[in-house]
Amino acid sequence: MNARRIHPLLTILAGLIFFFLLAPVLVVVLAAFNTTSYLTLPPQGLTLRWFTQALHDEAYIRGIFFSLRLALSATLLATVLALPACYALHQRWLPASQTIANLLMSSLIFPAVVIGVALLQYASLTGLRGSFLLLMLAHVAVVSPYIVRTVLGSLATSDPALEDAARVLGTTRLGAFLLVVLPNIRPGLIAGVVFAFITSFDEFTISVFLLPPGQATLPVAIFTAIEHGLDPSIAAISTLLITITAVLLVLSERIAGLRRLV
Amino acid sequence: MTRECRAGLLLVSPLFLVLLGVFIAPLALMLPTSLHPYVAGRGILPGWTLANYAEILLDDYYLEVLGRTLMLGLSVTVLTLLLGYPLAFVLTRLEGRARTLLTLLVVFPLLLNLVVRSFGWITLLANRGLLNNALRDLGLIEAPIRMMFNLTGVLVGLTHIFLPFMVLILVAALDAVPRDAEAASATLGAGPAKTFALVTLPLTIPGMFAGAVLVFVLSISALVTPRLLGGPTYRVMSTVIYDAFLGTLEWPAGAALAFLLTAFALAIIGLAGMLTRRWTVAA
Amino acid sequence: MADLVLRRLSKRYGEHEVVAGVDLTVEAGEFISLLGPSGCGKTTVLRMIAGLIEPTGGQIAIAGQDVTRLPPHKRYLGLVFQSYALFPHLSVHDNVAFGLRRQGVRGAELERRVDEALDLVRLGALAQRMPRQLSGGQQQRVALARAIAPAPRVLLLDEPLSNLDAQLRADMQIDIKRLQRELGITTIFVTHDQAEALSLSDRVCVMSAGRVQQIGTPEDVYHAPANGFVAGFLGRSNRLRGRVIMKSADTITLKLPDGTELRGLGSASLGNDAEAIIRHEAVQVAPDAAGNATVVLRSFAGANVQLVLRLDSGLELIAECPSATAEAQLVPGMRAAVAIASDAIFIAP
Repeated sequence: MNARRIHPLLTILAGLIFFFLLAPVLVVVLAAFNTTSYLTLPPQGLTLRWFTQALHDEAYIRGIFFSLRLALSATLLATVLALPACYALHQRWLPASQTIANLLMSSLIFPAVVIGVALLQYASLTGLRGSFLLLMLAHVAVVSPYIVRTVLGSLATSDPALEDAARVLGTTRLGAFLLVVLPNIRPGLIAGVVFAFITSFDEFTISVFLLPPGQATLPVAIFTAIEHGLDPSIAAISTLLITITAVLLVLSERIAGLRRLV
Repeated sequence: MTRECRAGLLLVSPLFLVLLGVFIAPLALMLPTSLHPYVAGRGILPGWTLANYAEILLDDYYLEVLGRTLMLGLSVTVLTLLLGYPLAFVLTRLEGRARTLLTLLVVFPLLLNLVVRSFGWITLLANRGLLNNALRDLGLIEAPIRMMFNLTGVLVGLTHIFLPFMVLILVAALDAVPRDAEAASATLGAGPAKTFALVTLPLTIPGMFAGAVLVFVLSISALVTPRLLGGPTYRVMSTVIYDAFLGTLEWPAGAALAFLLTAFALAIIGLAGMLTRRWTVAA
Repeated sequence: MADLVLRRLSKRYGEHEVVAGVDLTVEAGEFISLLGPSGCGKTTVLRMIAGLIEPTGGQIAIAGQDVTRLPPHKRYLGLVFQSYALFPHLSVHDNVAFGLRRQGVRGAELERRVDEALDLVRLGALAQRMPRQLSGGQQQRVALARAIAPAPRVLLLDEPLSNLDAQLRADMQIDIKRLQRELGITTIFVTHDQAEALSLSDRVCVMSAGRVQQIGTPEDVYHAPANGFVAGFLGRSNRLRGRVIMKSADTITLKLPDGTELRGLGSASLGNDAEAIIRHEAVQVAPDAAGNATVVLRSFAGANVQLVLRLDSGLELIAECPSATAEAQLVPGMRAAVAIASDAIFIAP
């Protein structure tokens, strides 16, 4: 299969659009290192001042830890709940398995703000306002579709005979799942888990309605900072987020390959 | 079979129950709220009324917000289609390392925090932001161009946020076009432009449609970008809902608006699904 | 080694009965084939024996023990899949060791038995390879080694050779036969290839539409088919439709549309339409200028030659004869004398 020749104009157009796509990210990274507190091109000078400032800011530090705690627990729980569900759906043990799978993934397209306010009211009514558990469960609901999607996809392309072979050789269904199926869907699972973790860490719209008083996730902390006025330390903390996301993405691609992510 | 059914239920229930408790139940609880009257100063009163819904559909203020939201959704959809298609096209014509790298670069903004991305646009578009400063330094303009806290800023921001979605869907659609079809077109005498217009483009229409539906629904639901780039005075449905619940505490009105937004989203998705089924049956 | 007994085994999916009451007794150490066309239920029977599918009726007993309700991992059977189903994330060694580990075998004993199994299939040198690095034939042999390493009571093979090319297939058939003889293990072999079944088995169980058509030695089912299906499925045959005009204790007379009368054995009823099944090699041909047929087509197939002959009555028959004979030298246009022994004609409804 030969690579097709692309019209040069088209390449330029695509290049411009690409630039549009990455411009804000580049700008943020630039602003983080810039000596002046407003941005100029070319930059006046380079400094790490804003990074030190950001990393000493109480609000950001607490935000990072809170987000980490939230994202890790939500992703873990989502994985534990999603794996058995995906197995049952894959085996078609329930009627209309495809419909159920779609239902389980419906929170992907549902307006997040509606879920957020509904949960706010729910929390007020049940006295759970500010409960970490509720927030965590809300995140589970939001990120589990990513895991369900990649795991179902991986299971669909796996060889059903592998499980049969393991069972005849002496394992129970659970044993076959742990020893044979899981190792073979590992790439897809990892891709889903990474996506889920990043989504939870980045989540704003629902979190903002459910936060415990005095606590904030990192995105909410950044949002609050922006509403109070622009300041390059925001750029610094954002650059940190960008870097971590990029690293996770590349790692995920190495392990799982691009197919699973998209 | 029943044994399988029981096992299946056991395995699916935990996740389903979480979704039920955190997703369905709160929504169901919010429905009555949207039907209670609200009086400023006294809060939510018992009793039932459709006034909240009526107000949204009849009041000029709300109608303007509705209109703006839908128009925004439409514009963003069109823009992402126009910008996304060339990018997707070039992406599918690449191979190996180049394609992987470029695809990663397209996926990367998707994973980036919404707040961070909006912040990037603020830095670029603000009156004293990068773009204005650069244009001023080059002597091209006197006074800063107002690109933020208005339609322009929100449009640019939303287009940027949802462009990767559209690109990925279009890449899948373009990949699904059989290469042989394009080769056949060439052997029958059609040049690259004609082949694109007569063969490739029509075959990607289902993908374009799917992408458009997704982007539209996501755009009308957007909260962070319109708030950050449009400011507190730029009102779309999501920001009004946000203010109603966290600001003015007018929960019934907010709830009614929220359900209306949901209704729009579900209606679009349902309609799209129906149309897609109709087309694939006819095809 | 154990014996296997299937008693009225059946499997129904909704309205559709895939397996309709199969009775089969396999002696310890016997090699038996389940032979039939696609969809006849043979694979379903095998999977029920393995415990992967639950029967809707009937019993399965191994060495006298009723295993019908037992899950697969408690039956101590070996199963070789059509797609081999090697665990891609484990090396050849670990694949073969898998079943042994489940039985609690460890250490030196484990290594010894893995080596033994790999030596039996002549793959000792490839123990550290991964499945994706092996050819189809090698993967097949690893699958075999993996199945026999845990010393199963019965060995099940589900069309294990269908994915191999002809030469490899022939070689593997001999290997499997030799292995089975050496180990003396009770073996059930599922295949749709009748030549394969005939050459490998001690007995053949012919199936069609979920039912057993005939169980017997390869010679039995080939030369003495119990019904029209078996007669037609094994070997290559001419099939001629006609009507039964006479039926006595041991002979049926079939009248063909062109007037020819054929007399043979079978099970058709008087007055009904029936089919005469005549194997290609049963059509006797001799070059004869004054004969009753003309050669229409000749095709050379290596060891044999196929001739299409048109009898003077208009009837067309296909004959097969070894290439070295006089009749094999006949060419289109030449005359020949055609005859068929009556015990080679089988008349079925």
